[in-house]
Amino acid sequence: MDKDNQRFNLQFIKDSFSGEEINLSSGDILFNEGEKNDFVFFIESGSIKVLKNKWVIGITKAFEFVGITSCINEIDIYTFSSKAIEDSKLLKIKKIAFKNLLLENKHFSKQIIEILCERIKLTDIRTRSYIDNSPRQRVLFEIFNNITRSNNSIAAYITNEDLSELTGISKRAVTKIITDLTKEGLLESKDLGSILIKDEPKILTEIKP
Amino acid sequence: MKKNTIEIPSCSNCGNSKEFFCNLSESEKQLLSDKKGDNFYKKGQVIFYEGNHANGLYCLYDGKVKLTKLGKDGKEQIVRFSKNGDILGYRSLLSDEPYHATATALEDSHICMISKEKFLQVVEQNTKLSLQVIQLLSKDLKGAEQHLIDVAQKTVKERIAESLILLKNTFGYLADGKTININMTRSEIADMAGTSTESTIRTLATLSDENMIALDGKNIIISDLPNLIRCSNTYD
Repeated sequence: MDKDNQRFNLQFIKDSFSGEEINLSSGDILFNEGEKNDFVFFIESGSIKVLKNKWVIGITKAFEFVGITSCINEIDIYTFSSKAIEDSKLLKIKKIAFKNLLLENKHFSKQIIEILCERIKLTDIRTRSYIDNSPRQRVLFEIFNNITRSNNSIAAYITNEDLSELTGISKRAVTKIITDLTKEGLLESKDLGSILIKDEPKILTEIKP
Repeated sequence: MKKNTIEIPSCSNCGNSKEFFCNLSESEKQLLSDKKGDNFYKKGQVIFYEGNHANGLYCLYDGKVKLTKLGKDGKEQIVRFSKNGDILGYRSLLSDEPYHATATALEDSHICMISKEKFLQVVEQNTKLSLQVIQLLSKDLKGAEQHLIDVAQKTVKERIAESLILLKNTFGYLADGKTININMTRSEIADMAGTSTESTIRTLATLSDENMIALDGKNIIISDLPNLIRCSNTYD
């Protein structure tokens, strides 16, 4: 979610939680599946991928939380792993403080409900996509799911490796698909995992026929 | 066949209340109960359709329901089952979206309907209930993520085995202690596992040959649960 459309106000989060700020470099592990889950994390900048059984189940971006479900589900361990995709800054929040704010602040509680509903919907769509769609459609779906709009451009910041992990398609096949899409004028692949969307309507037609 | 006219108690006296409503005050339960609708659905009848405007929360008083989504080529995907005490439609109400799935009675069922306005009013007022809603959604998200991983990573045999275990965990056994207490068509099992009916029929035959299950028409008997669990590759 980009800064202009963020759900959570960073200052509100910092004022509500007296947590430690941590910095991760690209590739650093935030937590591993099976570790004790004493904390929820708020991403101030950067992005974190979430994995289970080495399968990427999602990418969480700035102004979102990581670790909510493990915290809420009354179990003592993280049920998935997480790793920084890029240099990231996070606020480390004690689990008990997070739960207390849910009980004290109706608006915050409502926002968390909205996030969970969105994530369930997205996961269902991805599952459906896996069953129904071609590899090309799945790649397009994940690219479009990670776009950021600014001024007159639409771009996705996601590497071929991430796309491979999200879709279960080999990196080589992903690279070929991106090359084909670039030749067809649907997108433009730039450096460092940046993909510029050139023809949004055509992409939308393809992923939602 | 069940009688279609039974007296469904108020929310305060419902033995199915379970965890979800246990944090409500009497006045809140009364608020939900006032003008609560209750309907009888015959086996195969649809309670609500995917894409329809979400107007209420459904609470399954007695019976069994499947929730399905329509994929491409009209293929149905079973996303969840519901049994006595389960609530349906809450995610659509909370996210202010149309119903995300179609709910169909798997057997004759009695279902209560609470209006959207009253449900949301109580959730807003009662922060403990709000937390329970979040817990329910978290559990749903965990289930959805696991399903995604299963579809992506597991073999057809593992997915079919897991589907049978899910059915057994959701509906239990009949009085014989080994027959799963629900009749599902091969097509419905295929929908659950995200595979074709043909593959499902072959795989069930294989599981039967390997003495993990026995097939008696639509009835599925679990002969060797530990091995079936191992076969499903589920470790949770």
